[in-house]
Amino acid sequence: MTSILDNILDSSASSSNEQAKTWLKNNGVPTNRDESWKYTNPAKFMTGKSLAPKVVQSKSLEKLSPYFIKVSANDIASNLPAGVNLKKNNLADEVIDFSSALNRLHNAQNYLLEVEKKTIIDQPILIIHTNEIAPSFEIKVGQFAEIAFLESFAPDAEQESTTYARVKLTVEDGAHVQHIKTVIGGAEQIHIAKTTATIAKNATADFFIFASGSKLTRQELLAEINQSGSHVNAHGLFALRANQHADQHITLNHNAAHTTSDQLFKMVLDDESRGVFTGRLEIAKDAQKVDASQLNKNLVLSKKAHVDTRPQLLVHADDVKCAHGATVGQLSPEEVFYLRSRGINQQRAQKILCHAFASDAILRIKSEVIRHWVNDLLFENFEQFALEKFES
Amino acid sequence: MESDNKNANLSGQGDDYKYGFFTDIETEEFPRGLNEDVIRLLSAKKQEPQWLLDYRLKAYAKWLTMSEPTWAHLDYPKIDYQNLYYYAAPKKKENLTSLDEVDPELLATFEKLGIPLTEQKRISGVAVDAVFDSVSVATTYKEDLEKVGVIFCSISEAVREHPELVKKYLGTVVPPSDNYFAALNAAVFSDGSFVYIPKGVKCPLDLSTYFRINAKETGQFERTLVVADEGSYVNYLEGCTAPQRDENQLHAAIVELVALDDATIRYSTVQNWYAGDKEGKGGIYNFVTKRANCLGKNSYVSWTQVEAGSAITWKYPSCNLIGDNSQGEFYSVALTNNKMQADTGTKMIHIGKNTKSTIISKGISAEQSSNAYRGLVKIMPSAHGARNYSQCDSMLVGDKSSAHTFPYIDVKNDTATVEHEASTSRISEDQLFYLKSRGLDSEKCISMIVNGFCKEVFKELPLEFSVEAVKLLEMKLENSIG
Repeated sequence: MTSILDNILDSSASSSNEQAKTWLKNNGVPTNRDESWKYTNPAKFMTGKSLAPKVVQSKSLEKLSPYFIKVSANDIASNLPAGVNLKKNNLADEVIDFSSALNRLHNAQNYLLEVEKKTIIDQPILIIHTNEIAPSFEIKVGQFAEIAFLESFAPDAEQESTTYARVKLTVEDGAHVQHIKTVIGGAEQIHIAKTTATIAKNATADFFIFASGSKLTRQELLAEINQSGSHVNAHGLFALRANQHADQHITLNHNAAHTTSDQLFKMVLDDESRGVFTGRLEIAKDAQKVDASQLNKNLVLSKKAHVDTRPQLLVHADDVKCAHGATVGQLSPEEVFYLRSRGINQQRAQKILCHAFASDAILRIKSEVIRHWVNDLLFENFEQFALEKFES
Repeated sequence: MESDNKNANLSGQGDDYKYGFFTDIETEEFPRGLNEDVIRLLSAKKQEPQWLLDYRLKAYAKWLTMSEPTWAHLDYPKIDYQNLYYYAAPKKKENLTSLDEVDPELLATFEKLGIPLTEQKRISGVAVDAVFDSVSVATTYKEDLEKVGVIFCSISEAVREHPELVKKYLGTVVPPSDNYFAALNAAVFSDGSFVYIPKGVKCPLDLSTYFRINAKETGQFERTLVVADEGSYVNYLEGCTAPQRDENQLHAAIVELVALDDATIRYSTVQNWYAGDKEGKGGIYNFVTKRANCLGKNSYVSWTQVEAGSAITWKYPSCNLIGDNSQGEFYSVALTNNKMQADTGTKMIHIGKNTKSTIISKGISAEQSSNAYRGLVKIMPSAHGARNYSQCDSMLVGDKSSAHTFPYIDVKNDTATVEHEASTSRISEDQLFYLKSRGLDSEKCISMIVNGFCKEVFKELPLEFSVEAVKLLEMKLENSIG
């Protein structure tokens, strides 16, 4: 264990972030004895060494919207509409856990993205990550602004790399923001990300993540709904195969009365992949009239795929509606048979059904261009699924 | 201790806790604290064979290396294990032959609990092995059971009379290294019940044990072992009450069930240990490990529990579904009020093919209590066609109560189907209004709604328990409605 820690500290020797160093020295690298890393033992995946991702140009992505921010290790290029300002800033060193410590330790420059109040942008802002190990953004969405961000991580899949990403989102009164993130990695890649959000009055925040390909994807979302009238959506999809391991860790805290949230998280698992979902929904004392729902559905396609799911509810108020559910299942032989009887071959039939299962989550993306784009990504992804002979 | 006994009859205090009396009989105790000598003394006292002493000492050595679990959603002051008594037994005449020789005060205590042994012997068809503190006082209906070959006795007796059975199964379901409290229990367990149902026998009576903690500051460490041989059937009922105390008392029991091919065990519990007063002072710390091994093909185990007492409940009756087609079921109602805390649930480990499990958990938290469901459903790669259905509903009564759900689902087989559903709600105004408009007072309404909420679980209980459970909930919810 110490060797991973040593490697982490070595690879970030130039970092001046003492807080993160101290955190790591005091707490070490989590093991599966830590409740929040129970099913994802970092020692299994990480060496602690960090390697910058190599850039691949995604032409199709850039066609989605004229507005973009392109982040590389020492540089940033952007084209932003009026009312959206990009600045360098210092993120108040918020080291709260392992993931945020990793980010603070390796981060070279933090950027502040400010959306002025009442700014309404129809087209999404693309945040395209290239070769930065630990990109970090603070996003402030002003009152009554409406905006969507699409953050894309798509490093060269052939090459070993590590990414420790961080987003800090502040949503002010009456604002509506969408944050969609796609991570398309490769067999040697590690992606550990932390997103935190605070949501004010009568605002909405929609989160979506689509991840596939990486050796390890760990995505943590912590949303604090602090004032009444607000709504949070936390949706996502993992499509995993080979030896991929993905872990989604959502914490939603309803700190105020009359707030609502919805979570739908789906995982499709083939080969020897493993998917982990932890959703923690906490309703504070006196946060009455909260309506929150949480659903995790998993489709297991092969014998050796493995799912761990922990949908957790902590309720401290009595006049609330909370429901959660989790399912783990397979494709139904009847459905496959139906498609086969219509002249569709076995593999195609299975892919159609997988796609149908997954699209339920994708349909929750509000922005139409992003929805189509994620759908296309998923389609490409399923083409790579082996889908062992279906036993019916 | 003797001095405490003099002034300890608390029954006249008119408190909510019906069973809060203390029986004035002399007890025999060891000095406080735990060390190897206490264990040797305990073992010698009970005239145990060497292998059992070795087992205890090994468990004790293991316990010393372990630390108390902290993951449960519970908050209680640290327990000083060196400040407890590890053995207390009513002083009695040697070699009891009939009930007449039992201390009459002891019998009166059971009568207050509603299980008069003498009455029971004649009227009801239930055989009772009453555990008073640590030593089994009297066992009724033993002769009737012996006719069909059923062994139902205290575990100390079983160690003496049936060492081969005890040796074969003790600690196979819950090994001493399993957890902190299991290790502690294995080191110091004082008494408990032992049941063996031979091949093909349907136990003619429902077996039942009433446990009762009496002496002050005594840890109660029972050990229950139920073995159902091929094709047998047994229905086992367990009820618990404890007298009122200001201090917190520790209760760390182990229940082990073994079901062989085609065997059925139904295990029902109504737990009503003293839960402390309105300020959360006193009450029992209930740290129990209950587990069943469904070893044989087509074996079936069901756990039904009504948890209505204890200041702290830490209890996860579990099933290891090892035999093909074996089934595990868990039905639970956990009610907390005042400042009680409960972290309870189940573990279903699917190992054999086509194993099935069902979990129905109902949590009711009233006043300032906290009630958590924590359950694990694990499907191992070998468990083809495994099926699980879990449903966890919580009901909140009062705006300072809290309810939590922590399900863990771990699936390693692609032919398994696992479903989990949970909801949290409170008694709706509409329901209340409807019932009130029919002329019922609000307490009656609440009681009806709560009973309806728990119906799925109550219907799994044997009739006499089901009646008791309904009464218990009514009693507990009195005054908790604001």
